[in-house]
Amino acid sequence: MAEVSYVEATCLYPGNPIPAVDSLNLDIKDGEFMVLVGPSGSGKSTALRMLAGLEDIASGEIRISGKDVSRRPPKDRDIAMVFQNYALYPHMSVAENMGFALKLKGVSKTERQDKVREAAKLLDLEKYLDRKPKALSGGQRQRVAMGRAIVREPSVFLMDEPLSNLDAKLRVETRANIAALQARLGTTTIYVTHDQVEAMTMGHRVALLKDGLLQQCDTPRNLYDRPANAFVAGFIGSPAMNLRTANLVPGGAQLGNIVLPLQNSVSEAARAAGVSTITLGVRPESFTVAQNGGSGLKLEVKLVEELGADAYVYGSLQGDDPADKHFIVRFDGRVPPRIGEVLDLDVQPGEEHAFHPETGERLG
Amino acid sequence: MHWLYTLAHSQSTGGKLLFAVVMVILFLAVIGALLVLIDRTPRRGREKYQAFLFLLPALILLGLGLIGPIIRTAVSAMTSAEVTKKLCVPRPGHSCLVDKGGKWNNFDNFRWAFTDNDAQYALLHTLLWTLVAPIIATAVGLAYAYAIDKVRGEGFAKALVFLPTAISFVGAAVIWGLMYQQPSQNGASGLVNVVLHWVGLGPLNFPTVGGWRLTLMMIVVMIWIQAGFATVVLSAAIKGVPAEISEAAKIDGATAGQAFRRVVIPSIRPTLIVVLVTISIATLKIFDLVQTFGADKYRGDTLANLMYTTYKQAGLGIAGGKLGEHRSSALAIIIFLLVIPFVAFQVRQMVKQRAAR
Repeated sequence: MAEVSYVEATCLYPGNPIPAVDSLNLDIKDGEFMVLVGPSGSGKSTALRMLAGLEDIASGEIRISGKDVSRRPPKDRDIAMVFQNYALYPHMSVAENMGFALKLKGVSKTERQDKVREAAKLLDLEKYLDRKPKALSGGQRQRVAMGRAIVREPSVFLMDEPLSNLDAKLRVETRANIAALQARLGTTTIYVTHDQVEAMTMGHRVALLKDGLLQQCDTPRNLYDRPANAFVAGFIGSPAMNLRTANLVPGGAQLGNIVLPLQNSVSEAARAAGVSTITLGVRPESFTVAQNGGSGLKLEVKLVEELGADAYVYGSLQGDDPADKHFIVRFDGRVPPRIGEVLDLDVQPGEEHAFHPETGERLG
Repeated sequence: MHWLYTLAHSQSTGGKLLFAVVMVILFLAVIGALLVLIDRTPRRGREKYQAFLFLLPALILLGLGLIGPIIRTAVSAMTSAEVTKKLCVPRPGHSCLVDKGGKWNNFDNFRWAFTDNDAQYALLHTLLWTLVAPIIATAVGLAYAYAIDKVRGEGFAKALVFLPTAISFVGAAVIWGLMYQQPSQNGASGLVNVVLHWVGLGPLNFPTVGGWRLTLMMIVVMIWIQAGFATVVLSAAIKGVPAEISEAAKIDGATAGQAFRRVVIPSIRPTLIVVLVTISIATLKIFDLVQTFGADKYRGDTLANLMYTTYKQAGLGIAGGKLGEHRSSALAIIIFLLVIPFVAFQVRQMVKQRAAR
């Protein structure tokens, strides 16, 4: 059990003046499931490897249970890690793989066997203890990698995209299993993924990184409801939020054929920032069919994706350039519109997001 | 066919050229006939016929160049007199075989190889070679390859130890002969004796060093040559070990030594075996080094060297001399039999490895 802190932690790769992780400040509470998410090259894996002791820290420090471990080797940090491609030892059986760390620690053979068997039971691996990793399926290997981490009873679990090598169905299943396992063990866990769905479903809190910089760290709900900047807004949520540059006009912001009224706090923030345009964001699920026909936002349907429960409508607004990105609107899957149809839509009040047009910072 | 024989031995340029042309035409004719034959194979089981016909030329050459000589050597090893004329080219009507009353001699040549003092001496030294040289050369190569892995200037460091591998055994023997040079009147001395002098030992009187000490001195040269080979091959194998596995070992709490012993070595085991076996085979057959170092039956002899000197004795008036050719054949067969287990072991490992993949 331990809390983890990054304090101004920076990682520089040789030959690259731009830090892979730049002055990261992050406090992870004891027992928390923290997800680091971001596009590739965002520094999320590097941040995890810094904590593991696999990357050197150029400046700042990393604390586990309040102790600075920045200069300690991995083995003195009391951590266990699950790698993306599992990194099982190919010449050892499942049991040997799981018990290797204990063996190195000098734990007696019987105790080792007990612990391995216990973990194997937890992960439904008992039948495979004598097999070599080669003789296992991807999902089984993934569980062995988990088992190897669990057996050690570390104070922190580190997981580096542990599900990315599984097929879609197994990934969803294992996602739930890992979350349940973590809840049961109560071990502080730091989990890296590029998949925002994984991040939202698994994390107690989610830290979003981009270009080595922390963008926002909050609960999934807050991240979704109040993204701190346009990047977070565009990254969290699937399909992504519609983001448009909109002119400020009296009474709100110009969006297609309508003037979308803005909340007072947004207008004030925009005025304070002295901007004449804003980056306006509306999630696909924030639309409804207009109540009083003819007065709503006009959207010409270009493409419809039917997913059963939902249908995603890709279309263009009045005055849109053909080069503009399609506007995406969620529709009830049972009554999907036809291509070419012009929809009449309302934006649910208060569900619009406004960002500074240059810095991308949230307004209001 | 007599004209062909005359042509083959023609002295004039024109004749030689003509012979070359004839041979090329003959070659093409054979290939052409083969292709026609392949084309006409019956439809049923066609692949098998075709495979056989395509393999045939290689099989014939293998038979002539490898299997034939092995059989002849085996026969020679078990008989008791010369049967071939020197410098004889077989031609119609003439036999190169001369019956000198040779007969099966009840494995006498082998009995000699295992009971004669000189042969036992050579066998013992070959054993010493095979026990020491491959293991140390591989160990040195492995340690070096691991030490320079991912270090700046790795390529240069690798080239440095690989250079000796490119030097011929004879050249290496000459170079090390100078290294081992004993101090002369005017004080000039080989590097080894200089170093020995520094640490207060020696001097080593190289030309008169005998027995196993000369063997050890030659083994050093062998290690010097083979360590480069081992380094290059093992370095490639070490690079093939996924980085994550080493990282996982680090996180599992392994020290550098433990990670090396328990994770890296098992991962490169197949390559280690290949390197060990390759060097072992080269060591079992060691000849040029020993010959150039001037080893003989009195000091540092090996089986292959004895095989050569025994062959050279054939026809000399020394006791057992006329049996030289047959005794050396027996030695050749013994070396061959000694190599087989190594090769068999390696093949078995390879099969096992493939099954595990």
